[in-house]
Amino acid sequence: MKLDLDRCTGCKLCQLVCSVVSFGENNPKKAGIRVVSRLFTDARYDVVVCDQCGLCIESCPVGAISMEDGVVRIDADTCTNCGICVETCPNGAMFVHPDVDHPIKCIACGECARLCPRGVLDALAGVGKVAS
Amino acid sequence: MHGYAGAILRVNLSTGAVSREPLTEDLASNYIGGRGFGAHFVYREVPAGTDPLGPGNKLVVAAGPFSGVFLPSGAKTSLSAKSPATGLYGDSNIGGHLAAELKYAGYDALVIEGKAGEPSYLFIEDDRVEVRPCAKLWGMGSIKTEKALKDELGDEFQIAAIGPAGENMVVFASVNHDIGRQAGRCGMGAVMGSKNLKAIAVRGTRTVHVADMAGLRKVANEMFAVLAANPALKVWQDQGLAQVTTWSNSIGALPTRNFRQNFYENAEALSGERMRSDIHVRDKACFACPMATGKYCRARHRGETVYVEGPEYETTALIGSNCALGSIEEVAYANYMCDELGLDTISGGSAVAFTMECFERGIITKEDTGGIEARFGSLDAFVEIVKLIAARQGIGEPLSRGVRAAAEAWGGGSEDFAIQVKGLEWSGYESRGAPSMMLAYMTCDIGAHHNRAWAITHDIAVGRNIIKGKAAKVIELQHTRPLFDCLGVCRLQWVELGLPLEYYARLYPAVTGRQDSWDDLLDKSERIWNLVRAFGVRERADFGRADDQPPRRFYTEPVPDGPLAGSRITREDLDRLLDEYYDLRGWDRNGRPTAKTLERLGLRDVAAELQALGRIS
Amino acid sequence: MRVTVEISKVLASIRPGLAERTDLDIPDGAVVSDALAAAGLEQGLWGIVLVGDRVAGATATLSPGDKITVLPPVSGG
Repeated sequence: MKLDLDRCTGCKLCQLVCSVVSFGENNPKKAGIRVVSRLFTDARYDVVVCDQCGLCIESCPVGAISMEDGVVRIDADTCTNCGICVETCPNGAMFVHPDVDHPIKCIACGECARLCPRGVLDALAGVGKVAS
Repeated sequence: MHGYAGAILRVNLSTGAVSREPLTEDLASNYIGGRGFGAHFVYREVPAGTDPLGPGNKLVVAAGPFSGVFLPSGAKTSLSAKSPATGLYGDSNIGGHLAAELKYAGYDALVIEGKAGEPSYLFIEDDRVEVRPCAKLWGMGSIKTEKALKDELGDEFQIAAIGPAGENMVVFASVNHDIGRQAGRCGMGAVMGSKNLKAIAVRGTRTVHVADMAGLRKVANEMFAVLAANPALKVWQDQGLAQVTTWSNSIGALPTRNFRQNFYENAEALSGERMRSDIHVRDKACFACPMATGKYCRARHRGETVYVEGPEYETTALIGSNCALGSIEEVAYANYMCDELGLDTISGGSAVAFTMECFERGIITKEDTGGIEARFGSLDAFVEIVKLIAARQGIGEPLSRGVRAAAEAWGGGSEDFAIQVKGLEWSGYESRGAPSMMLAYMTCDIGAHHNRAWAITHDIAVGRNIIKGKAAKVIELQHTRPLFDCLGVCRLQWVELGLPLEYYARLYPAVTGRQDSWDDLLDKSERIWNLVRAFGVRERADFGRADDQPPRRFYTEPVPDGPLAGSRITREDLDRLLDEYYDLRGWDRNGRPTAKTLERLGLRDVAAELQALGRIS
Repeated sequence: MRVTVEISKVLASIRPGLAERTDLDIPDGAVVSDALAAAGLEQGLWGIVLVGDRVAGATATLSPGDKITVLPPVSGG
C-alpha cells in the first residue's frame, strides 16, 4: 500500500473524520490514523495507518483479531485490551485511547480517503473497495 | 454544553493557583467564544489604568464553538489582553492546531493572570495543568522553542511560544505556533513576556460533543464537497495568500516605501508565482482545512539556509514592497528573522520602513543607527534593525514601542509618516484610493488592521472617489468577519472561495443546539464591537474621534505614481466618513457609544458604568 | 462567438445586479479581460479567473463555448 505522502499538508482531517465515523465523536485521538509532523527534520508530514499486514493476528492471545476480506479487524467483545498487538504492530498503527477498551485501528472504510483534500490516502480507499 | 468543552481554565502565575470554572450558558450564548470571550474577560477583569505589561493584565486564549469540530477549518484561537501597543483592548488570532487541542484538553479558554517568579511555561494535558520553570528556553527563538518543547513532550502537543522580542516586551511581539503561524498583532507576545510566560503546551484526548451529529455531518460534508469542487481551490493550494500581491499592486494598494507609494515597480519579483517557483518546499494546512494556505519555504542569505512558513501577503507587503526588498527569497529570510525573534511581520516591517524613511530624510543618521545604512532595499539593514528592536538596543529601543512612539522620540515631522492608528501599525493595504478601506482602518477596534473589514472591492465596485454611503458596508463587514473569530473557525473558505454564509448559519444550531439565526449572531457581534469600544471610553477620558485618525501622509500627500497617481483623500472626506459611521453606529460625533445604543445591545451595566464616569450621555 | 461567464456568490454580493451566470457574444479573438468587461467586471474586481478548469490570465485568448469562472480578489484573510 503506497500513500502519496508528498502531498500531505498535515491538516488532520483524516484523524477527525475517523473519530466521527468510528465513534460519532469529534476527537482525533480516537482514530485509527495519525498525522505526524516531520517539518522540523525533513520538511514533510507522515501518516501512520494500518496496511492490513496481519502480523497482529497471531500475536493476540485471545484470538480477538481476524482478517476478513483483506481487512484486519478487532472483535471488541473478545479483546482484553492487553496491548500486545499494539507493541507487535510494525507500523505503530494500533492506537490506544484512555476511554476506549480496545485498540483502535483502520478498518479501511475509506471515509478519510474520500475527504482528504490532496488524495494522499487514495490507496486506503482501494483497500476499502476490496473489503466491500 | 454542546459545541463547547465546558470549562474556563484560570491560571494565576503569581500564586501558581489553577482553577476550572464552568462555562456559563450566559457567557457562551451572549459572547459565543474566541474574541467574544476575550472582550468579555478583558472588559470585566482588567480595570482602567492597568499596566498592560504588569501582572494585573490578563491574557485570554480562547477557542470557539466550531473549533475542533468536524467542519472546514475550525482552527482559530483568539488571544486577547489589554494591548501594550495601544493601551486599549487588543486581540490577535492564530490558525494551526491550537484551538482544537485546547478544546480536546477540556477548555474553551485560558485566562492567564499575574506574573511567574521565573521563566516558565504552561503545561496542559487534559486535567493535568502545571506551571513549569524553563530557564533553559529563555532567550531562545520562538521556532526553536517550539521544537525543543515538541522534542521533550511529543508531536501531539501544540505549542504557542514567544521569542526574545516577547521576553523583552517589544510592544509588537508575536506569539508563534505551528512553526509559522502567529498571533502577530497588538503585542500579545509582550504580554506573555511580561508574565515570564515563555510558552503554552497543550494536548487533549477528550471529545467535543455537539447537539446534532447527524445534522453536523450532513452540512460539513456538503461544505467539504463544495470546496473540493471549486476550481480555484488548486490556486489556493499552490499560492495561498501570496497570490494577492500582484492584484494589490495592480489596483494601487500595495504599501511601498513606507506607504509613500502604493505601487511597487518590482512587485513581480515578490509574486505568488515566484514564491512557488523559487522558494516553496511544502504546503501546510491548519486543522481540517482543505486550502492549506501555509507555504513552507526555504531561504538562503549570506551562506545560511533557513526554513520558514510564508511569506504570505501581509508579510510580503510590509517587509517586501514597503521596505523595497528585491526578491521573494529576501522577504522569506526577513520573515524568518521576525518569526524567530518573535516580532509581528506587519508592525516589524512597518517599523523598519519607517526607520528607512527617517534615515533617507536625515531625521536619523548613521550615528543614531550604530553604523547601519538604513536604506530602502537593504536586507542587511532590515536584519540588523529587527535584531536591535528585539533586543531593545540603540534605535531599537524607541522602535520597540511602535512607530508612534519612535516618531515622538525622533521628531522632525516623522509623525506624519508613522503609519498607524491608535498605536497599531497599518497592515497591507494603502487606502488613499479606497475610502471605505480607509474608514475600516480608522475605525478598526484594535488599531490599523484589515481583518475586521476588508472593503477595497466595495470601493472599486461603487466608485473609488465616492465617500457617501461607504460607512454602512464597513459596519456590515465589522460585524460579519469578526464573527468567525468568535466561532473559532477560519473565514477564508467564505471570503476567498465563496462558500456561502448559509452553511455557517446551518452549522451553528447543529453544533450548539441553540436556535440563533445568522442575524442573531450578527447582533452579538455588534455587542462585542461596542464592548471593545466601551473599554477605550472607560480607559481614557479623552478617548474618541481623535483615536480614529490616519497619519497625515494619507490626506496631505497625493499618490506619487502608479495606477492611482495624483489621487488623494481630503481631511474633509475623512470627517464625512467618520460622521456617517458614528451616526449609523449610534455613537456620538466624538465616537462614543450612547447609553441608548449600549442598552439596545444588552449592555445596560456598561452604559451605567460609563455614565457614572461622565464619559457618555 | 459565445462564451459563458460565471461569478461566485461573494462577487455577486460585491456588485449587486451582476448575474451569477451570463452568456455573452463577443468578437472572435477576444481575450479574458474583454469578456469580463462585457460582463460588467472591471479590473480590480476579479481575482482568479479560470477558463474551463485552467487558471488563465487577463490576456488569454478565448475560444467559442469557453466557460469563464471568476472569483473575487483575495480579501486578506
